[in-house]
Amino acid sequence: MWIIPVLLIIGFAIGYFLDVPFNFVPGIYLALIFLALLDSITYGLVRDLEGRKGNNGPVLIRLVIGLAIGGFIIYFGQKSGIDLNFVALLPLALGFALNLYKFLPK
Amino acid sequence: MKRNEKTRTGRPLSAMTLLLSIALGVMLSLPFKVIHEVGGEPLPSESRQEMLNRMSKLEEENEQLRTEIEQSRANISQLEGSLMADQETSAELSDALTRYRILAGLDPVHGPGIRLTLSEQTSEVPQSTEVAPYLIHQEDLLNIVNELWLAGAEAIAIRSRGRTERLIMASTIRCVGSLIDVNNTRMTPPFDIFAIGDPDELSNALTMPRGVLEPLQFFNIQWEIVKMDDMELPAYSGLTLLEFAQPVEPGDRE
Repeated sequence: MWIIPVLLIIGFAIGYFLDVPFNFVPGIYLALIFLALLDSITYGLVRDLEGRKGNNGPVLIRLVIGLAIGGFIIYFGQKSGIDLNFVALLPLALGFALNLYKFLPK
Repeated sequence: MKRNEKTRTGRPLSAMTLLLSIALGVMLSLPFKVIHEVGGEPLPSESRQEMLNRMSKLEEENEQLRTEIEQSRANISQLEGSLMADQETSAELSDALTRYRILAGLDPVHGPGIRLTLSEQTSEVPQSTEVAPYLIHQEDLLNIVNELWLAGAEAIAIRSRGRTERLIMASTIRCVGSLIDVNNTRMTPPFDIFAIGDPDELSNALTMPRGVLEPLQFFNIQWEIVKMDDMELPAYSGLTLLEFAQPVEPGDRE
């Protein structure tokens, strides 16, 4: 488990010292990516800790589906003039919260 | 094959989880990088009222600068006039200069033309219907102005809330939120569009079947055309600077 903070720090260093073009991505989509990553990582950790095998596929599918559906809802909302940002982010936030709940000692 | 980190159960963490952890780290660096780039200073957190006050102050300064530009132009015209008056042969030059200044929108002009008044009737829009199509948009004004130029208008101006903006080749008409920005002046309906030219031709161009005004009636946008024998349009009040465009000398042409 100690590898996770190490990888986070490595990623942090990459993002901080290299010129990652965040400014091309609107703020709401950054929030979506952030939540989708949190949700997928904790989902993967839950599955790993439960001892399941072949978790790469489910984690990737969860990430892609989360991003695709959330992105579509935000895009659709912007085009139709309706603020659907909360609706787009809520499922990912709930997924993240449920994954964290599974970490709690039984 | 590289073996991943083992969990408490003895199974390795999935590669995808590890990869996404790096991506999350990259995302986490974003706020720190932003703070680093703005020099550690907190980002301005002005309230809406403060921003409105600042905008109002800037608009006042803008107005003051416009007045200064108009005064400077009047001085230039006066100096040009006194210079030209001394020379008999300068009459033609003076006429040409006046013509070009009118074409460039730098002098006030008067003449016959039309006044088109456009107004919204959003109060009659059913509650369940979206209001946006019932508002006057930049495209509506641009279409009307294009049609007027095409019909031979020699000078065009748009008036709203007592402010009249003369249109020239560098004029801009664009939506800014719920307002329309004409020559960087914020305007709201109703709009009066003045055009100097043949009143009949201008009027016919706008009211012809399938013309620019016909679609507006479907969205409760009211319009009225008044033909005028004489009207006066102000000069363009913005800056007209030429930084890059240079005249082509006869010798430059192939």
